[in-house]
Amino acid sequence: MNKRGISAMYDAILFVTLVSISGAILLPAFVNNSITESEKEREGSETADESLIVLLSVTPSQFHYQLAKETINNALNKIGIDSNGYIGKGIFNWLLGIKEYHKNYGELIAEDMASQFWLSWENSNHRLNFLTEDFDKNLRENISKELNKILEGKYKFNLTAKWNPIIGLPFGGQICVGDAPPQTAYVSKTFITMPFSPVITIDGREIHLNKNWIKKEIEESEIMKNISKLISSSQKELDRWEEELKENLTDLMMGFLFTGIRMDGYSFPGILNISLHLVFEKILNYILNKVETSSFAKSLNNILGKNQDIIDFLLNQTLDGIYRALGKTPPQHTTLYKKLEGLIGFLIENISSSLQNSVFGKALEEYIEDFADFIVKQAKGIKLSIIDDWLLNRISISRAEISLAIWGE
Amino acid sequence: MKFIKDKKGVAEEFTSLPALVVVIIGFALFFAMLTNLYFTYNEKIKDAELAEVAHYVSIKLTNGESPLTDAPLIINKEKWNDANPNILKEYCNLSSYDYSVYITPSDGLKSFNKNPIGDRFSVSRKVAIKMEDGDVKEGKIVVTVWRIR
Repeated sequence: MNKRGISAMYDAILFVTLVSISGAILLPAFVNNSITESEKEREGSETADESLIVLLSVTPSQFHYQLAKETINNALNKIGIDSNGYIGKGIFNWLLGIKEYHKNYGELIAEDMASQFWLSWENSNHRLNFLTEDFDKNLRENISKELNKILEGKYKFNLTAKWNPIIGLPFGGQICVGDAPPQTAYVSKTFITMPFSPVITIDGREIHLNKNWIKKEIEESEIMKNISKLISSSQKELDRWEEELKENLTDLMMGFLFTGIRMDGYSFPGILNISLHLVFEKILNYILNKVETSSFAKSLNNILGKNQDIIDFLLNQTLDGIYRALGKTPPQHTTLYKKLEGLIGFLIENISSSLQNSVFGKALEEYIEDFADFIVKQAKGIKLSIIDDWLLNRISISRAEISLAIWGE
Repeated sequence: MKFIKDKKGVAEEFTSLPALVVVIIGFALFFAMLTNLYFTYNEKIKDAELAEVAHYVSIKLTNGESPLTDAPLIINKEKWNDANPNILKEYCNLSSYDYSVYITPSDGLKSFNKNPIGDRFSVSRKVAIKMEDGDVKEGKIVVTVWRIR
């Protein structure tokens, strides 16, 4: 046996081992795809951001919906007008068919959410405003098509927008398009402004939707003055004092958010009422504007060779139908404006009372009582500004949150 | 010439040859790997650099201060069509790179197209195109970047 041959074999094994080790050390440099991975991550997250901004800016080429589609349909059929016939369809589209050509998706989403009045509680959702269900449906369909176009079918998506005028309470508006996203989805989030004018008139009084104005209103209320007196008074009978403070605090917060606060000769209507008025006033103005300016009304009069009475007659009949559909007797011998205003007032009242009497109302009471308890427990060192701040921090009338999640197929 | 006939000496030469071959193959493999690695790395760096520049140009052209936009990612058709390629290049502040850019759908929008030389890298960004007030469409801006030689 040649010992040198064995030595050469050892050398060979040693070299092969060394080459393998160096190969193993260098392998990550060959196959390392961290750059590609981080590029992918960046692309996904940028695509989500870009797509959301683009969607909110784009104006749909054709978008229309009908107010109170089902209700009006039934009302027209009851008075003998075929809602799918020439006249029925004409009235339908003229009065309640809304076409939006110049609004972008951001504005449409905000308007839709503002008009819904969703109440979500224990896995059940209730839509309190039935007038704009068609708006919802059409908008969701359009968003889905638009996002498919923007994402070029490369990603699945979920767009969720939420508006809660009173933070922490499951009431407001929401829109959700697409499947539930997985945890690995790329998410982009932003805020949109709700389509409300900063000043509205309720019962002849101007309401300003800014925190300073609302703060001043609260400070000038009788309840707040009572609370102020209680806090600065001596606490001889502690139990009674605490009970009184809690009652006043609960009244203040319920009034501010829900039922309204009485002042000297006037009242602050409450955040819920303000939200409802903002939406229904918009609808009222829209319909009245249509009655006054529509060319359809003029052409219908020309066709029938009669004066404006025929339009008033048809509108009155339609509105009466809606009153009856809601289980209310329609008012007689009154103007069209008053009838519409009455109808909208009834809707606001209805929504407001059904909210208070629902499980939601009880949840709201608990929510407020918890806070009142918290304040009363700390009552010795309390500052009035805590109450103001808490109330003002509960409001988010003008802002809604919107998020887009995208993920690969 | 006695040493040529020395059997011990010849046998020694033959026994070390296989070991030498193995060593040479080992070194050759090692250096081939190293060279390959160096070139791959170099290519990756070049690609990454071009990608970064292309990405930078696409962001610069679509941000809120760009001469082409009304707001971030919202291209104004009028501004786009009035844009001067030289001013755009100056705005992007590129000295050793050149780029071309176009937008889809191209409905009445011009493209700043040039023929790229050598290695190039393209990136796209989703944008909204404001055709006129109240008419905004979705679109895509595509930027291709290459080195100036």
